[in-house]
Amino acid sequence: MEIFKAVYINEIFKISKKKKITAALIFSALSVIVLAIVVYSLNNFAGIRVTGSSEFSIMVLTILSYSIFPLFTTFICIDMFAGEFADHTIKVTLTGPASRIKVFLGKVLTVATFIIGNLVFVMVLSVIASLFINRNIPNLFKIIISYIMAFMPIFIFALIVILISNITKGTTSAFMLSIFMFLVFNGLNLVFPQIKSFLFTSTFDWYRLILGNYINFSKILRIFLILLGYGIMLIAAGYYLFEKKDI
Amino acid sequence: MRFSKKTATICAFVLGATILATSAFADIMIGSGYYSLKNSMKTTMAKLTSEVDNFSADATISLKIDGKVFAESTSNAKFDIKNKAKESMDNNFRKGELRENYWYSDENQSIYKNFDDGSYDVFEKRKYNNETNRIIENPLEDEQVKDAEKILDAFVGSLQDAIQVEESAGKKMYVGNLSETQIPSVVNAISSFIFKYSILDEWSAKNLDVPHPKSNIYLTKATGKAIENEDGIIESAIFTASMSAQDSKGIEHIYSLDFSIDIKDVNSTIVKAPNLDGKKVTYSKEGYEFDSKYIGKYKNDIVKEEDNSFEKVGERFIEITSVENGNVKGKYYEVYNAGYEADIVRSFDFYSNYDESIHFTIIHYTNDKGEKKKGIIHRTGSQNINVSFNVTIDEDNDGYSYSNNEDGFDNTFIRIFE
Repeated sequence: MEIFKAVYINEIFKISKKKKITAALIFSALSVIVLAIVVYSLNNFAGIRVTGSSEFSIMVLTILSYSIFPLFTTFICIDMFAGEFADHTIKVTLTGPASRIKVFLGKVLTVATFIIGNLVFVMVLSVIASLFINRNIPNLFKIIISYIMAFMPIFIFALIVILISNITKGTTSAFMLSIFMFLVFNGLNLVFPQIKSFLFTSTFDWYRLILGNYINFSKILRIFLILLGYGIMLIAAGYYLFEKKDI
Repeated sequence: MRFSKKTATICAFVLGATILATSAFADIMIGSGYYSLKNSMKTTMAKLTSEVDNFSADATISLKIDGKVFAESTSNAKFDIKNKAKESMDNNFRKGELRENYWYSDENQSIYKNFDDGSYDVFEKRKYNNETNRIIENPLEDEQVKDAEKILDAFVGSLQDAIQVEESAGKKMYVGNLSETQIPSVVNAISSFIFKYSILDEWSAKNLDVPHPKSNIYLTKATGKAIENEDGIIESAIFTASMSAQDSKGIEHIYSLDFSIDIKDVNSTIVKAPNLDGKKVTYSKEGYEFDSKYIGKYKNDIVKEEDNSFEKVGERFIEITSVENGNVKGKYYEVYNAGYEADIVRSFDFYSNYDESIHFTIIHYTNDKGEKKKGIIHRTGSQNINVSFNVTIDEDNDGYSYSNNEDGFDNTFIRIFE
């Protein structure tokens, strides 16, 4: 456990030094500010209230779930896997006392930490912004649950990117393939809605299930299990490839 | 017992795949309230438009501001699919005034009631060839609606699970309840925009004497309930949508729309023409554009533009020589003034077949080159006519249009009273 903790701290330290983290935070903050200005202007100049106080944070979540969150998650995952293999820095980690499984899980946990951090940052910022748009106090409970739920599909996407990073040789191909996969899954979702239960991208807005007066718990459970299945499968496959990958 | 790393990894992969596959299949099998409501609507429309013999439908739509009705329409309609008859009694309430409306229609006639004096107008229907029209078409079979359904399916996302399904005593109840937080921002923004600028714009609000929604417009809720009976027909449905908005004085109002429909008396509805005995009735025939009063001579001038001035060079004449059961016969000719003789002076006879088109009176003639051509003739003003020659007619079930291929031709012919 000590070794695992050390691997995790090491990985967190490594990504904290990356400029991409700063970029992710800047872009996330900018997105929230721009959206707040748009919503505020629409209300003041056109009289149309796009969102109420609670809905602003949810609207930000909906938009960023399809843009900033998966994009920067892709960058971080590729850097941590394909990037380190490409510039051979992975040697330092793998030649240490930690086994490959611990290194792999440490990296996966770091990615999860990054996603959580990004979500928390956006949530706090959007809640503050929503106070300026509407003077009503937002429903914090629903917002927090929504952001927690939004973590799962983004994390599944991160695992797919990790899998791709362990297959491809370079970072560019890993990035292109990840974006391609994201678009294909979203495209399939639109063209064949009948198979969307199999597509993790259809769950990107599953937090809407808890927003209404009627909460369909069985549906929430089914989606949770689908995402859990994806998670176990992708971690197993990702680890298998990571283990086999030559330095 | 220790597993090798490979075995453990494969086991984990298989476990994950199993959980994913079973849950996803279960999800597909269970479906959603949205899909089952959609299927139920399709079944209802298919049955009502082609399977049942007759039924009644009562619909009410009301618009409220702060809970007070400012406009309401109710319609009690009866449909006899088998005998192609329908009857409707409508009430429209607007600006404190109630207006009634009654009509009956079957294959032979349409009857309208004038509530001002209790009289009736009866229109004898024109018979068309190859008429196979049903009295109500299934709107869900329309191509546009089918495409809209696909788009809706793709974008409805998790909202489809907001519809709850409950079953009891063979009946299914669908309940949908969208709160403020659930309504997607785009839907909210678009509907608020349409509401402000199209549904209740400044002019309509003034006209209806209601406060105009000016600012802070948003959808507060949308709720609906539908009950499907044992035969798979939705027997009743209620839908309510509310919007909140501030008027120019900054006072907040709740605008709501309530819609309800009840389908009843399936296969036990009787649609009967009203008894007109002793009533004041005006009879007229539908669809005859021309009758004998149009027999006569019509003309217009042939005008040329020369040295920035108009000069009359001759006259065009149309003579309608006979009109029998809507069939028009006549002739067209041109007379040029001395000194302006044209190379081709047109003169030909034309005729129309009443049954040829339900939209136009199409005339047939042979032009100076011996080619068979088509034209259109219709009334304009009260006694004049409008004629186009050499037209291309494009007519289908939903619409019609024609393009005139003649330049410099004045279509309006003025009646000559001699």
